[in-house]
Amino acid sequence: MIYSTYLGGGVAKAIAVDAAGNAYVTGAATDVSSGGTFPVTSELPNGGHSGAFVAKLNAQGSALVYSAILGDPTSGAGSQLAGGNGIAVDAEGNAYVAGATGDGSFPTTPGAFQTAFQTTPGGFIFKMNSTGTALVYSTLLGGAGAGADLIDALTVDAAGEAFVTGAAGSADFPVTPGAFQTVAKGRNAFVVKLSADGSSLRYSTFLGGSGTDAGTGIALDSQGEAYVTGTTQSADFPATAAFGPAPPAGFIAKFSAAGDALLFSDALAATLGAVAVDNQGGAYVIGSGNGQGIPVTSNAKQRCGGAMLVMKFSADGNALLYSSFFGDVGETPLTTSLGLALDSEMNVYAADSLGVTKLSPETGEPITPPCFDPAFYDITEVTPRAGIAPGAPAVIHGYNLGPQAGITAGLDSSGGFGTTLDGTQVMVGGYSAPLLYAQDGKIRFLAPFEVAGQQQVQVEVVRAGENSDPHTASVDAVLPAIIEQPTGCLSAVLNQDMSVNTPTNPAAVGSIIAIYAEGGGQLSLPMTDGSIITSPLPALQLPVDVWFQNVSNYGTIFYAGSAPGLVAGTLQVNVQIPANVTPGQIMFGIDIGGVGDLSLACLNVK
Amino acid sequence: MCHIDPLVSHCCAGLLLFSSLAFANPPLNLDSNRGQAGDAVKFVTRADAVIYSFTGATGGTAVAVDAAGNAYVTGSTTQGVPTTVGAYQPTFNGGTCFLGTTTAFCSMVLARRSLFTSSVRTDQP
Repeated sequence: MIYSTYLGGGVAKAIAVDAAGNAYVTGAATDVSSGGTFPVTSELPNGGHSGAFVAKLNAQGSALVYSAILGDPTSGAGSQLAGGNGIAVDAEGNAYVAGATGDGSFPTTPGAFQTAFQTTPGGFIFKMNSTGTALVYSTLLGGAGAGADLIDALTVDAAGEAFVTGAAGSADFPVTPGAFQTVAKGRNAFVVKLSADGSSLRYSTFLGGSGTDAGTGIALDSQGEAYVTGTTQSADFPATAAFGPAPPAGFIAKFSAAGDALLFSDALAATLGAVAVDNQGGAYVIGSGNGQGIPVTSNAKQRCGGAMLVMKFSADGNALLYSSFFGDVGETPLTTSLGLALDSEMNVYAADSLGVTKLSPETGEPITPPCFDPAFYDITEVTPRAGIAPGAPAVIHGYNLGPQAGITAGLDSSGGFGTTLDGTQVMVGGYSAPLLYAQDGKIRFLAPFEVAGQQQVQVEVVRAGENSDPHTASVDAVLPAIIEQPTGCLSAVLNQDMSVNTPTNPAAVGSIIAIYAEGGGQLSLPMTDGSIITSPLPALQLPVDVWFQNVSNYGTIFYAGSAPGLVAGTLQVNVQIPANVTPGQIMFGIDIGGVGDLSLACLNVK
Repeated sequence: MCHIDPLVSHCCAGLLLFSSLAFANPPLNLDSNRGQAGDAVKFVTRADAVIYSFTGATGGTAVAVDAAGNAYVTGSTTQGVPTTVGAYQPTFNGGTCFLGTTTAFCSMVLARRSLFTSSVRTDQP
């Protein structure tokens, strides 16, 4: 997480971000008279302390660059949409905000398209300078009819011309000659393009039938053609294509750059919220519905049951490239407030009341980045560690780390352990780590020998092209540990007759045992990560001691080095059990270079 | 009978032993609670794909993405959201708007998962 902060009282509705990482938020600030507070740093003429807010937060999320409030929902007719509903930012850092207000004294600027309040709640569009100290322009937008005119979404082109959509309650909502639909048939949606200086309408058109229609999302393609989404209750909605049975509940429409033609209009049985357009003109839409009559494509990851939908329409609107539910069965469908954004790789980010989900641009399938806990374990997973040691196995826990069923690595064509296992990789300090095991919740890997000498390294998991957050791991010269089972007094020990040391097969006092361990650090010969050790056998560079419970003398070491036939980093220590050891199940351990084994292994002695 | 050479053993018994103890023990599965009844299952299922999660969002939620792929989200909540050290307003004091940004909010999701899994050592006896 980069930052997460509260931001005063109210309801945040829309967000934009500039190239420097400053975030711009708009919404409705809580009325001071009802006990709410919202920070205001910029006192504008006719500004207020409740109403539509616009706030700019620095890239660190630690301070407001500015915050201003315009309008007062307690003055004049109120509306549930009172406040800012859409926001965009241009390359100069000017913020464009649109919404709805019932405040008859909402601040406007001289020369703006509409400076006088039209008696009923209407829309507003203003442009705030980059420092939040002045309005570049501010205009109202609405008619004088009985109904409210509400702007619900905004976008801006490279020339600084704002596009808005919403719901027109006024039959005399301002439209422009030659626009696609100049007469309202019911309570229709509208689409408006405002000049860069806010003084005139480039075009303004209704969109709808004889029922109730509302625009909820708007986006532009590279040609300046506007894509509009929304909801409809008009059986005669002007659709050029229908996906699914009537009656429709939502629509996506595309207008010509001049606003004089409807290039396509698709109606379907889902309410649609935000829209985003990729560099090929494909339109991504987020919506919701109860599933009845909603088209779901054959490539959908989730064909039913979720509350939210993500769809992709072709640039010509003739094809539904994918349509998939996402979310959990039983979630309540949302009718509003669904956010959508695209990144530079056209991945889709969908926001609902539970969070943000990243989706594939090709299929709408949720993209699940690998995540793991920054605690590292030795291979027996007994003791969490802060770090890793060269050549030593390490285990991390998380999810989306590997296949659900889990897969154990075998030897690859080079005769060693590879660095990719079923699409999973672990990067340690920039080196690919040999993998032993990968499963959704766990990875076992071998720390590359190349990290020796470093103080700490970044560990990152890559799966299916998605990178986890990097976690910092300390690098220890050694992390000695005897390989063992956590219970049952079963350690990786062979008795002198080569049989496995068990409670029913103890080793004799005075006999020689072979202990298998890990975390010995650097060896006397250069190691190839993941290779199987053969002759010549490298020895440990640091001194080794093996201690036994209740005796002060160490066992006599006959060999301490790489374990032949095992992967590089696995150690074998041949040691004689001291004659003064008391028979039974005893603790024993290994010290390498003066560093002890923390796992307290168990040995069966007779 | 094969005996350990005090200097070193080349016997394959070591490999078999190592395999049985280290490679073949039951894999840890953080999702072992899946399939059980209750809200936890619902959350954990959804958490697989949620890169920024919160509770109690009652108003609008909106998202934006910067050129680096960082996701910015805003909305309103009545139940609180985790905040970061040094944030502009780290405490919930009656205000309900929130704002956050992330690359891949794994830590938040992992923390939430821990609420529904008694221990990460679910594979151990």
